[in-house]
Amino acid sequence: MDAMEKLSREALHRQLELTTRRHFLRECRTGIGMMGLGSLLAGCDWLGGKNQAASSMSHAIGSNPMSPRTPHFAPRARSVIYLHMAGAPSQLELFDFKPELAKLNGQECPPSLLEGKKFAFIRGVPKMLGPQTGFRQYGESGIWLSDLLPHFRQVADDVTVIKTVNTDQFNHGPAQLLMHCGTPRLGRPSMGAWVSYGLGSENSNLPGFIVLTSGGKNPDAGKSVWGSGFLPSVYQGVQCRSEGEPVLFLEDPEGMDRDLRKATIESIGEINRLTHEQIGDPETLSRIAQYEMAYKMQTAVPEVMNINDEPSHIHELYGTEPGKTSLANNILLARKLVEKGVRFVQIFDWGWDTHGTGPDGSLDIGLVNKTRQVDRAMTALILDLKQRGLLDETLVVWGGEFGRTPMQENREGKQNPYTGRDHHSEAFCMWMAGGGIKKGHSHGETDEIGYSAVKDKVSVYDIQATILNQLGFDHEKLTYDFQGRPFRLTDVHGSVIQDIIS
Amino acid sequence: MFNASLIGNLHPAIVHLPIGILVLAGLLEWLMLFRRFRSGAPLIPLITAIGALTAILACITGLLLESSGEYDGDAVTRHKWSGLITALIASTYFVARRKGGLLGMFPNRARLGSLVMLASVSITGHWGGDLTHGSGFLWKGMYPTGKDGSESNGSTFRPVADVLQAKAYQDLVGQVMTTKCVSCHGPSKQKGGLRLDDQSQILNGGKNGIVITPGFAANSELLKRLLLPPEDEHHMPPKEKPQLSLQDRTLIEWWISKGADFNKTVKEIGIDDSTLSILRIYQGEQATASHTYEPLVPEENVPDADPALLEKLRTQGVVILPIDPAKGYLMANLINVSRPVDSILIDMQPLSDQLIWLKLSGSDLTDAGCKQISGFRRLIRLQVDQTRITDAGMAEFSKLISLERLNLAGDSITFQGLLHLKAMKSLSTLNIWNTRISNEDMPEVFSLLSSAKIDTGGYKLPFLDTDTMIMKDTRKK
Repeated sequence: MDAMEKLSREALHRQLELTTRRHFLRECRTGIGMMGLGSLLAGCDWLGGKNQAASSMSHAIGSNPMSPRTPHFAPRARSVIYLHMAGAPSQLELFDFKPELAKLNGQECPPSLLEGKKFAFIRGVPKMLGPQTGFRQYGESGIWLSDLLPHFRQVADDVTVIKTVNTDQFNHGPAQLLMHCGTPRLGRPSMGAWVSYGLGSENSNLPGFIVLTSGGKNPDAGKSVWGSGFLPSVYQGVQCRSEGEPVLFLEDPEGMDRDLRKATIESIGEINRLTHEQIGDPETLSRIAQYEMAYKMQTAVPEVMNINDEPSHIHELYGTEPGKTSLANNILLARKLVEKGVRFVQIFDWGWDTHGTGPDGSLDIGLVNKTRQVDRAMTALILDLKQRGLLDETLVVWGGEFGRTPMQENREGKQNPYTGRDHHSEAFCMWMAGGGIKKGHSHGETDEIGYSAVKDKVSVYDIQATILNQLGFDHEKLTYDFQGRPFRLTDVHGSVIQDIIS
Repeated sequence: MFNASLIGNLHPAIVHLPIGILVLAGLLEWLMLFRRFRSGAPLIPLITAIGALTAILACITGLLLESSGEYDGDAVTRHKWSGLITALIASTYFVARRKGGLLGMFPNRARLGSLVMLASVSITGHWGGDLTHGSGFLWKGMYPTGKDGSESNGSTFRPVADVLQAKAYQDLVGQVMTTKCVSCHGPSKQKGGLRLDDQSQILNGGKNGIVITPGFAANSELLKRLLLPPEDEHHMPPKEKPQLSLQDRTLIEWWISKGADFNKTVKEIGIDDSTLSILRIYQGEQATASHTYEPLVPEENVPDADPALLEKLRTQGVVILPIDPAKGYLMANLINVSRPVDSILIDMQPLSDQLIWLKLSGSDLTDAGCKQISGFRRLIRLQVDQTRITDAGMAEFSKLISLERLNLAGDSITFQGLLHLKAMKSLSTLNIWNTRISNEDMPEVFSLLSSAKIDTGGYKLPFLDTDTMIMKDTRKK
């Protein structure tokens, strides 16, 4: 009996020795696999969204991520042209007239304005700096406009100037990210990507979100300001150029004709569709859509990006010179793109960072040159959209990532060689026109030196919420489930600026 | 260490036990009417016992909470007594319902007794709810304009005629406090021992000391709490309650810094222009101004369009979508179609009820297509700019009497064509840039369509020397 017991125990031991770690892993693979799959799906929750709006959105998206879609309610604007003056233009020389500041010119800044504040470069006690240009009231609305904008005054009764935008970032990169992605850190989708996700693309041959840059440099925050973040990458902005090939790497390689290219893309699309049926990753759909879009763009983009065919009176209006990379050319292109059904055209123009460290970055030289580059073209844009009947359905937004201080910058405590202002986050100006925004209106008031808002303070999130509202979205409902929770452009902030909506 | 206030704070959680358990007991009592549930009868005394015990526990915690001093007034007293009575009723009921008890033998009496208990639980619970959520919380949703306008919690701000003439406390600060603070710091509830409903109470402060230092806004606890970020646990009002606006905070800061006077008018106290400009919001029209927007789609609804037809049109490249997901109206854009637009418009005819926005800009639309367009009799927006239509096609448009926006820019039409628009009473925007309408006819166009905003385009900007000049640095290096 005892021997029998020993024998059976030994047999059991032998059997257990045969079970190796490999067996363990093999036995567990289904469980581990499911766990892995669970976390994968949590990251790309595409169809199972708990949020009503999000799930109805994904229902509408179907198999083509770029198919045109209806927003949450009837839209006042069908597309957006967003002119971002990267580097932050000085509100005190353009839109926010502060006669009191002129009287204080040259006096030392009172400590109450400096205590507990952080500045990018100002150290110690800077001197106040009055407006470096004249201002006058224009239009029936009596909006104050700077002498630096001799053309813009003609559309004074078409725009709403917002004087009290407020941000919490005083460095270019984070502030640009906050402005466009709703967070100063990387990784979130940009406004254009959200709009593209929400609306798809009206023109099946063009992407819903196009980016144009000028000024010799990309914005400091890099391409993330038009990235898609955690949204499927098909929604990211497509950067086009007004000089040379409009889109890089779009042409067929030498020796490959268009039929062969078409056949290739169709085959790849077929294989990708099979993969998507098996795995269900939305990025596969993105890939299919991107290949197909790239193929269509090969013919559509060179046509729409060509401003040579525009009549001379249009070139005269905008002050454009075909063949160059210029802000004016990009603004004219933006009009053409919107006409073709592109939902969101994002323009970045670098060079507005007027610290006073050099002539190009000074208020009396650099800023003057920059305003000359934009003044005529942005005025022409509003007039041209108006005569084409497009202004009613196109929202034009103009602004920077923050404002500039009422004090003269004194880098490292020393007087800068040129007149300039430091970064200022508490109050800056933006303007909007068209797309259901009030005409000839001024929103918000700053204190008598333009340091901070005293009436109707507007946050960056409020701007975002308002832009989405004009496109027919409730900014609280345009969400995407990622890492276990719904995300939105305005995160947990923002309210629509009702006062500027007509 | 016995911590009275901590145990008192458990009251709002514990009260739900007797409510649930006693209601369950009463419910079971009535279920005994049905034979199939009678097997549960022996449970009733036990459940009642647990219910009575938790009711007593709720009373103890409730009394401790009251002794913390944050609650006072009639509302608390009636809740307290009704709670004690409920506990008594529940205990009595249990004693009588035991085996051999008075009610145990007569199920009908037991059922009637349970009604008394249920009524007592409901009344106590409701009065407790009044304390937590504000008086009349239960009916709030039923009366859109607020039935109890006089009550502290639901009251609205009465705009003043002129801020300068208004009494600083009575008309402004007091009103802000009544609307935003008094529901927790008032006669029925005194969180932190603080009442903000009259002068002496405000100056007395709460159990942590005074809250206002007249003349020194920055040192006043009241303002500090208002200015803390909403996420801060000391921020007031608590995050989930209605918050003070920027104007409210400015008002209180100004009022305290000027000495927190309770009788004078704003003018007598003295106010600077920039603060005044902020406080102007309390004046009638701005404070009550609400935004009403013109609806983009008609009020009345229409039946949804045939989905099969929409699908068919979409495969042909027509972008056709609901304008507002809540209504059946459609917008269409024919920018992607490869077939002639005229023929696609024939296919779209069944959508005449739904289609109200139609965009054909830059398409190959001809006069033949205009006839089809006239079938969409509800059209509100029509964009036929840069197409091949002529005056002949315009004749068809005379039927589109609902049209509000019409874009004819770049079309070969003349004044003769515009004559067909005469019947469009609701036309508000008309684009006729780059058409064949002669300059001589323009005055007539404007008088013909006097109610519409007519954009003739052709905008030009003056050439300025500065447009092309580039400023150079002329300073010596």
